[in-house]
Amino acid sequence: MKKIFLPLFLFCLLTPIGFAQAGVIQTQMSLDANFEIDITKAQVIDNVLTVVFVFRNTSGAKARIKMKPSEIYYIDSTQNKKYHILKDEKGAFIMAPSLYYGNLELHVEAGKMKLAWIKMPAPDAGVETININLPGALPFEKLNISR
Amino acid sequence: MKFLIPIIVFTLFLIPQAQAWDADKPFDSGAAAAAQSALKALGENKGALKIISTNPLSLISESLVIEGLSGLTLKADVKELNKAIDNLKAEVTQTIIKIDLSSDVLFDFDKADLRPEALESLKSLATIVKHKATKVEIFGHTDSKGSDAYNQKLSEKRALSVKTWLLTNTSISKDLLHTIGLGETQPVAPNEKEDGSDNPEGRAQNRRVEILVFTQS
Repeated sequence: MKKIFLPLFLFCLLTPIGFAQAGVIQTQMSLDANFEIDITKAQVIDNVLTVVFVFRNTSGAKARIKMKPSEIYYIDSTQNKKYHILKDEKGAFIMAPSLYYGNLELHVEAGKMKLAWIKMPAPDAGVETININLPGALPFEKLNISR
Repeated sequence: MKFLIPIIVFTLFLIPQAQAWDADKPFDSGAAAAAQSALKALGENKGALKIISTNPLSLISESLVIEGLSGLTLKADVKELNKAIDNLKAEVTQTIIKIDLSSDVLFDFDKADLRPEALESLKSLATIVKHKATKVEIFGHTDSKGSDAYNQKLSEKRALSVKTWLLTNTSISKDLLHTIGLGETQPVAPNEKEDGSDNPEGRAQNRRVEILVFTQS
């Protein structure tokens, strides 16, 4: 047993990044090159698509990324349809983190990462990939969604 | 003492709205329930915009070349309508066209009289409104400079100026036009920087007139 666990333990210890990225579906870069953005989940439950992002600060200094949620959308290219983030009854975008003035804004220390998620209407049944656009970042194309 | 009022208002009303959901819990049941309600309100179309042009440039520029807007007359004037939407960078959904006009373009500092420079934006607005708008709501907003009461009045007057212009320059019934002054209560950008210093860019974004053109009754 010891023979198996020791190398496994050392592997886990030495390759945390490899494990952190295990659930990554697709990665893109912010246009200012301060962040790498992973999508770790794009899942449809009850006709709602939840997309989970990990913003990793790769700049070497504390950095900020700020987006207007109205500029975040995805395109279902099979149906030529465009969808935006859902809004709750008060008109607030259903996403986190959400600052008081409505933007999606993250302040991340050098080398650290933060999570964010958004909820959007799911694409029609049968659609397996979508293209997600975040302002200030390269587009995520042909992103696989799970149902 | 006066400076405490906006701080109290900010603390009581705005901060509690922040971080409504936890970023670490994407499948929180509250967010899921809110999403279900939102989806239901959007109806069968789920708020989707149909993209006619497959030119990648038009997608990037958000030109919103769309079809199927209920309530709009999609005849020869569709080009004119799309141009007006494009000019104003309006957000279009299945039921509402949302337009943000900068107060710095519409009005002189501290005034509620429309400037001649506002004419182009107002003409585009009129083009959108005259295409069978079923209701128009005009919201005046200010930045945080000045007292709450003063900003409230100023925002009401500015919304009213836009309404008056639309009544004079379009055939829309006055019963369909509603104005609401919101003063400095609904900022879209921080009025101050993180270190507490003034944020002129943020304040400029907050000085605006927001117009919702409803296209379905």
